[in-house]
Amino acid sequence: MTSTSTHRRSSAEHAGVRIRAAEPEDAAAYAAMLGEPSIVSGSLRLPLTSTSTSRAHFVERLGTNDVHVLTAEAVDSLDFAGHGVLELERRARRRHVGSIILLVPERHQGRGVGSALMAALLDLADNWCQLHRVELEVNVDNVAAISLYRRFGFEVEATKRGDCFRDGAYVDGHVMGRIRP
Amino acid sequence: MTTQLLDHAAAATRAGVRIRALGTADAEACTQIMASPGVVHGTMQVPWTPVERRRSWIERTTTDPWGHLLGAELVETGELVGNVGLHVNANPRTRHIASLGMSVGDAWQGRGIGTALLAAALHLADDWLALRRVELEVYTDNAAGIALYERFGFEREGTLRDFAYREGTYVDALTMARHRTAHR
Repeated sequence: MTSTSTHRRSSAEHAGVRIRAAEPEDAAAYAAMLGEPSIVSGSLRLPLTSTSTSRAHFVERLGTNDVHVLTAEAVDSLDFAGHGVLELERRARRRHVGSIILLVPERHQGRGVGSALMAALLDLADNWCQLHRVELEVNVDNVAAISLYRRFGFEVEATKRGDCFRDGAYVDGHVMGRIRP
Repeated sequence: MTTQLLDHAAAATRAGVRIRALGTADAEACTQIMASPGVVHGTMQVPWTPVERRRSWIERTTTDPWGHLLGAELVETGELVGNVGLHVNANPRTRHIASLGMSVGDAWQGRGIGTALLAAALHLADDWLALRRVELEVYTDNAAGIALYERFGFEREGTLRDFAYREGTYVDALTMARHRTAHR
């Protein structure tokens, strides 16, 4: 299992970021990121959401049991470079399951930040939270995200038709799952 | 799929049940239904769930404007024998979707009660809530459940591996959905 921890450090170094626990001070950068078109498109957020709503939601979640929130921070500039969440299932018969959310602001996309965050989230899942299954949902046309998830061992398990409404049209979503190796 | 199948009143009559909204007064009856071994086996219930927890679940679901909870009671005795929950998503980008879960007590299987409950839930979804997509998860080995859902037009969208824990082992689930796009 140490291979996951090693992987976590090397992919963070490679991306030039440090992965740490999220803190309330990250709320403003997080809220600003949520307004970016690629983030709205790839998540279930609405455009034109008040940043005060997003900030409050962010801070509230940091105090929630079973939700682990990480921040990627650029080593040189200390700029907010990404957001990762591992949420553990609360239902008794699904305690072995966690779900993942990964968001990288546009100015940091394509540099390996998503991989660094994912490595850290899977280290938590595999080596600390005793999870057996990790799952996530992604729009079928989010090619870059899907290929990142595949590299980490996620497989497309289901395709949900008309899973969300985006910019005037219904979009299909994949459910991807990873069983602990 | 025929309109006949979706005639919820006829389905209830055939099964000898009345469909009605549930409330916290039904907590004990729901606890009994959902504690029957077949229901625990086929759902996400755990054995020995206390009535209090069931009551708070009913309260949350029925006071939430997005939750709809129906029960089937025998016309003859008034006994509650099954229930169905329809939970509409609150997020504006997914509010065309509801997820569905249902239970019929072990002693009352095979009498069309599931059909009556499902027809009533889909009547709500189609004719009153304007939903486009109703989705559910069902264990891959629940042949009777899958057959019921397929009769109503639910399609298989994939298999979620080791979805839940059941009797000492992980079990896969199908995710199924039924689409309706004929709103005017």
